[in-house]
Amino acid sequence: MPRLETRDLTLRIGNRLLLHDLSVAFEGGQNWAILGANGSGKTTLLQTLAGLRRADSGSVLLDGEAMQHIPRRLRAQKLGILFQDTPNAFPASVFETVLSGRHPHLGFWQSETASDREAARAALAAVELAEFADRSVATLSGGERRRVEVAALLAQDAPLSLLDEPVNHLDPRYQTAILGLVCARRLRPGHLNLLVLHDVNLAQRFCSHGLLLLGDGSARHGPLADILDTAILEKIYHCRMREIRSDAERLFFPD
Amino acid sequence: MKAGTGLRLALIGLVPLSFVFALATGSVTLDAATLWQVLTGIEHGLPATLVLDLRLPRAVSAFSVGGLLALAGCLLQALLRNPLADPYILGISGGAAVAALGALLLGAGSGWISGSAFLGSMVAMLLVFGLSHGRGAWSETRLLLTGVVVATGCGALVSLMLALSPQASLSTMLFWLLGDLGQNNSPGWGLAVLTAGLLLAVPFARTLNLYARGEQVAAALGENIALLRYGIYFLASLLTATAVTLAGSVGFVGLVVPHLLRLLGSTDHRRLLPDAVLLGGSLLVVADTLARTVLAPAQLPVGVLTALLGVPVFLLLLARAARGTG
Repeated sequence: MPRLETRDLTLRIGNRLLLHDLSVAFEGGQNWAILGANGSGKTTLLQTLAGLRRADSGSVLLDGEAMQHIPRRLRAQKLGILFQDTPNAFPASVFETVLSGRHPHLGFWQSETASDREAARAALAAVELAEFADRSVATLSGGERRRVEVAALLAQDAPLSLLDEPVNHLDPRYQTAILGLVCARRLRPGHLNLLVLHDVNLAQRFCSHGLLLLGDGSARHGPLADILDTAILEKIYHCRMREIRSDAERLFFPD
Repeated sequence: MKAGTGLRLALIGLVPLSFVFALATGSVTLDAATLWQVLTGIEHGLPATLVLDLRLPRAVSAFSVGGLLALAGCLLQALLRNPLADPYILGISGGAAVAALGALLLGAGSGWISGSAFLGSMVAMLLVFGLSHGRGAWSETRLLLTGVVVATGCGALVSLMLALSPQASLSTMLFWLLGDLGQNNSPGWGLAVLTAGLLLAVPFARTLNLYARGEQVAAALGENIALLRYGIYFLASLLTATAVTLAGSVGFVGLVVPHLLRLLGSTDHRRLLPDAVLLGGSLLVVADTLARTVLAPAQLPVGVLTALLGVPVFLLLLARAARGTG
C-alpha cells in the first residue's frame, strides 16, 4: 500500500483548473520533486496533500485512509509540512521555535520531556545552528530562519515530509546540505519526501521521482530520469531550455 | 529557564507589595504595625473599617481588572497575530461605553450602568463576530478591520452623547470612559472570572505558541484552528467585557503588559499568561492607589495613571532591548 496517494484529485482556485483527475501513488523510500511554473498549483497541491485544504473532487489517502477521516494529531505525527513562508509576529527563541515541532507528540496536559528537548537540540545541530539556540528568531538572517524552520520539521520527526521550496533564501552550500539532510531520511523505513523545487538540476540530484504540473490541469509523473527532457521543461516553464551533458549527467538551464 | 523563574518570583513578590501599598495608603496612612493588627483581626475600629471595607475590596477589584485586561491582551495579540492589538481593539469597550453612557443619560443607577455595559459589550462582540464571519474566508485582517470599524462607530456615538449630555453628568461620563474603580462594591466575581479565564486559557498556551507562528503552522501540527479561533475570541471578549463592566475602559494595561513581559523574556505563552495576570493586576493596584491619593481628596481616573506609570517603563525597556539586539 502506498503511504500517500491521490485518486482522481481535482484542484481549482476560483474558476481556474489547476489539476484534473490526478492519480498518483507516493511510496516509502522515494523522494519526489514537484515542478511547475509560478501559479501552476504546486503550493495548493502540497496543502491538499497535507490535509490542510479540501480537494475540489477526488481524494487523498494517507496509509490507505481518506485524509479527512484521520484525526488531526495522528496526521501531524505521520506527516509534516514546511511552508513557503512562516511569519513570526512575536519574539520567540530559536530553541522554542524548533521545540514547537514536537507538539503532535505531546498529550494535551503534557509538557515537553527531556527526549523532546534532545530531539530539538539534535535537529538544530543537524542544520548547523546549535549555538543559535537562545537567540531570538527575529535577529536571524533569512537563510538562518529557513534552517530553523527545517529544524522544526526535523524535530517533528514525521515519516512523510512535504516541503514547499525548502531552499528559499539558502546559499549554495546550505541548499545542498539541507536537501541532502532531508532527502537522506527516505532511507529510514517508510519515509518519503515531496519537495516543491524550482531548480531542475537540484531536483535531479536529490529526487528519484517527479511530478510535473503543466498548468492546464494536466500533469506528468514517474521516475525523474524518464520524464525529464527539454521539450517537457519548455512546456512547463514557457521558455527555451538548454540541455548540457557532462559525464552521465544531464543539466538543464533556461536559454 | 532560570531567568524565567526569577521573573516569576519577582512578579509573585510584586502582588503582596502592591496590596500593602494599597491598604496602607490613603486619607489616613497606616503604619505597618497597625496594618498587621488589622489583618490579623486584633485591631477593630476605624482602621479596620478603612482597610477591610473600603481599601481591600477596591484593591481586589483593581487586581482583577488589571489581570483580566492583561490576559485578554495576550489572547487577542496571539489571535490577531498583531502586536498592536489590545482588549478594546475589537469594539468591546466601545459597545460597553455606548450602553453605559446611554444608561447614564437616562439617569439610571450604578447597577443599571454596569448591567448595560456588560450587555453593550456582548452586543458588540456578537456584531463583530457575525460581520467578520459573513460569507467567505475568515481572516484575522477581516476580524481586525471589522472590530476597528465597529469601535470607531461606537466612538462616534460616545462623542455624540457627550456633546448632548447635560453639564452635570459630564464628569461621571468622562470618569467611566477613562476607567474608574470607585463605583465597585462586588469585587468577588471579577476575581472569579479572572481565575476561571486563566484556568481555561493556560492548558491551551502551548497551542497559542503555535498559533503565534501562524495559523497554518498550528493546523499542520494537528490543531483544530477554527475551534481554537472561536475559543480565543469568545474567552478574550468575555474577559474584556467583565473588566469593562467593573471599571470602565482602563487603557494601556492590556496592550503593554504582554509586550513588557515579552521584552523581559517571557515569550512562551505557558509563562506569559500567568505572568501577565500577576503584572497586570499589581500594576493596576498601584495605579489605582495613586489615582485616589495623589491629588486627594480629588480622585483621578485610573486609566490616566496606568499610562503615566507604564509608558516610561515600557519605553525604557524597549530602548534597552533595541540596544541588546542591535
